[in-house]
Amino acid sequence: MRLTRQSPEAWQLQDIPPFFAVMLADLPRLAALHGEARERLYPDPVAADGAGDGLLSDWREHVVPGLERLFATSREIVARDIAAMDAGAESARLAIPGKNIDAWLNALNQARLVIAGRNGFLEADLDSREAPDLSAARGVDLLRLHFYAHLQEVLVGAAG
Amino acid sequence: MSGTAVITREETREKRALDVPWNVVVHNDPVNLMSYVTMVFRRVLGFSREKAVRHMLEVHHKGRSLVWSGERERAEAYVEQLHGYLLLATLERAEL
Repeated sequence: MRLTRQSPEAWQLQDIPPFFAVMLADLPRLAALHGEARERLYPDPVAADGAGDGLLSDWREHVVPGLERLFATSREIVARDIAAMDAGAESARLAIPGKNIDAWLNALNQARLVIAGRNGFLEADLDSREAPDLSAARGVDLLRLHFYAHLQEVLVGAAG
Repeated sequence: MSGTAVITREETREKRALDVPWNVVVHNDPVNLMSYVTMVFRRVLGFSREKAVRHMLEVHHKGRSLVWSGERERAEAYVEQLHGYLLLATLERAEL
């Protein structure tokens, strides 16, 4: 799998193996499962003993809805790109317009935080060099998290 | 003591409270990539690559990095932007 620049404003992810194409297609749905990761996705702006002058309630009332809209928009943009993925029997191709890269970075981060949250992954899990146990859902999620991280790394490079 | 003096002193105290510097602190989390955090620091805070990397490494090794200090409204705006990038950031009153 590789990311190539088709034009100044267009990128293409090529040679995506079918297994990973399925994981890609699942990204917008997974990224929206904020449930168990909600506290991490919408953290308080102050520690528990912080400002204490209404900042927390103002934040939850005014800032969090804006973040929810931002995250939802990112997922929608990514879902539209994925809907146009050219999936063949051997591999898939996916066009990513340059203007959508930020949305991809955001959606990938949402998904990675959701996966880490629902599995309780710690730094040691993420840094482990052992192959994930793909017979268990947790192992598949760890592989998915690493795959999304790889894609994010590549896109950070593209974003400059 | 005149009423004017009391009012002036209270206004001064309020102004001083508002003027207290606020720190924007970014905390470590195991999920965000080092390259991504560096990119966000450059974009949001306008850091050079070297400064962004230095703060990213401080977050990684020490668990937190103070990335900006100043007036509260701007500090809140930075924290909001950093949350938009899904970084773990908080606002702290600076100790004088």
